[in-house]
Amino acid sequence: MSVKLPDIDQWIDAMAPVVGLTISAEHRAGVKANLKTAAKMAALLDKVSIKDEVEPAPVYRA
Amino acid sequence: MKSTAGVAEIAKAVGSGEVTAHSVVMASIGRIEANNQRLGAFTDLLRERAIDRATTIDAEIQQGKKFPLAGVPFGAKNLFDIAGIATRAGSKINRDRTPARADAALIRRLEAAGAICVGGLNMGEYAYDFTGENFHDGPSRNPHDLNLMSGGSSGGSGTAVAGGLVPLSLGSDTNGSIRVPSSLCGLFGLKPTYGRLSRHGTFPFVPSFDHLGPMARSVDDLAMSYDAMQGFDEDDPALVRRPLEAVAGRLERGSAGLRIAVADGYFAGDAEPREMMELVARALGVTKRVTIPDAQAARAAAYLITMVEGATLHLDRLRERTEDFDPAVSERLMAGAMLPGAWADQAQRFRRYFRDQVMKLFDHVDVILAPSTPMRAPKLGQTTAVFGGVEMPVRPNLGIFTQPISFIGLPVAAVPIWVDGHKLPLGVQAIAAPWREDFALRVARQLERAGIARAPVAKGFADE
Repeated sequence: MSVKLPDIDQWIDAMAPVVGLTISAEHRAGVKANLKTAAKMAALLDKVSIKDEVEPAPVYRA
Repeated sequence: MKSTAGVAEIAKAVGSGEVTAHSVVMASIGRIEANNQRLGAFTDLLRERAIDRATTIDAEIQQGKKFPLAGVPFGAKNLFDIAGIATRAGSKINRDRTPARADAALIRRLEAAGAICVGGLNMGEYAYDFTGENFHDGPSRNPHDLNLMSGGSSGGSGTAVAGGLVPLSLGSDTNGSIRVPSSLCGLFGLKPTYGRLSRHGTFPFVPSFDHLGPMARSVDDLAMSYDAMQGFDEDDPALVRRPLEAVAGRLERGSAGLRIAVADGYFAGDAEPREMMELVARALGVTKRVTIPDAQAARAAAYLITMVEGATLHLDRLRERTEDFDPAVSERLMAGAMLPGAWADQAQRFRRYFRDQVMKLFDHVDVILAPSTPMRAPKLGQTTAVFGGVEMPVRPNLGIFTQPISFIGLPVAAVPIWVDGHKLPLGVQAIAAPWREDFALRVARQLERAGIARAPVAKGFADE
């Protein structure tokens, strides 16, 4: 994965309706700040190389 | 009994018939009624229920029944179900829920051991918090200085025990919510191994990392309550079937024979935690250092999974009742709902990888030490502090040292350290391999014995 800091307004405008959220004017700055932090976190994670065989941590037991 | 009496002392006195559970509970309720308005610890007081329960315990003791926690009053973070009360989990929205029909599993286990639940405790909204400030109920305050944060999100759990209202509380810890208030309020806390204690009957936050555990004023008190809560429960799908591994009789060796190392690099911290860690290392005779690899990425992965799982849990409420949330919580959750699925899944793959890396360290050490928080208690309302020479937000950064550890479910004893020249405590985490709570608690016991770890009731709340 490669993570570049995207245009966060575009991100909100595209994704909010997809998940059925309305981001009001007073919450927009807060949501933007949190998306920016999340993108930085994803970039940190992206620096670690993980082998294909590594399974996600949660295991379902039937 | 005095406000300073602990779990072991109360259980002994009540069990022997020296005092009644009724008198212990009445004293605790009296202190809550006198001090709670100043402290902001309890949100629900179970006066009648606790008195009834105490009366029953006293009658059963008279008939010869034995209880390991006879008459011990305790409070539970208000995300634990308490029969007859809507489980609010620090929120406004949840007050509309149907009242819980039964108590949470851990409350039932403590009460089966003779302890008595006296009420529900304040917490950060939906546990997405490290400050102990609640948007709806007001802050839980730090009993050592009422202008300071208790830490969160189990803030009321910290305030109640450090303020001498009860000797024991239950909290939850997803990213640090037991260990942060234990550090800021100066308490012993235990975040057991992920899968050890049943979460049945509690309001969730991030199922991948949600843990429950006790907070108390001594290692013995912590161990006794933890032992009473162990045991399999098929109602918690993450619980692992383990034998009951009692720790209460196994701590006397202290740290003798344990291989201990101090975490460096990411966990080194600024001057305050460094000074505290040097004192701890000297007291334990520890010179070994160990590097937890990729700790910063671990924190990042925990952060992303928290946002995504939290958002999934609350999505309907975010759509329908946005304005009823604390905005600091709703804005993080709404952002979480808009993150790519691949980020969360990669974070879960990293979690497996990171777990395997850290497990290799436990071939050479039994316990790893790291600070619980990067600073002592901040002021209530304080939004920024200087970390590593850079001004950063307080709220998320209080959890930088706890988050990578709960991420992989390791057991941690949070130990309150008092450094000469400082008026406030600062916690150290004793971190062990999965299922070795006993190792973590033995290190806590050694530090307690050395006199640098202690959890007094705050001045002004301690009976003379």
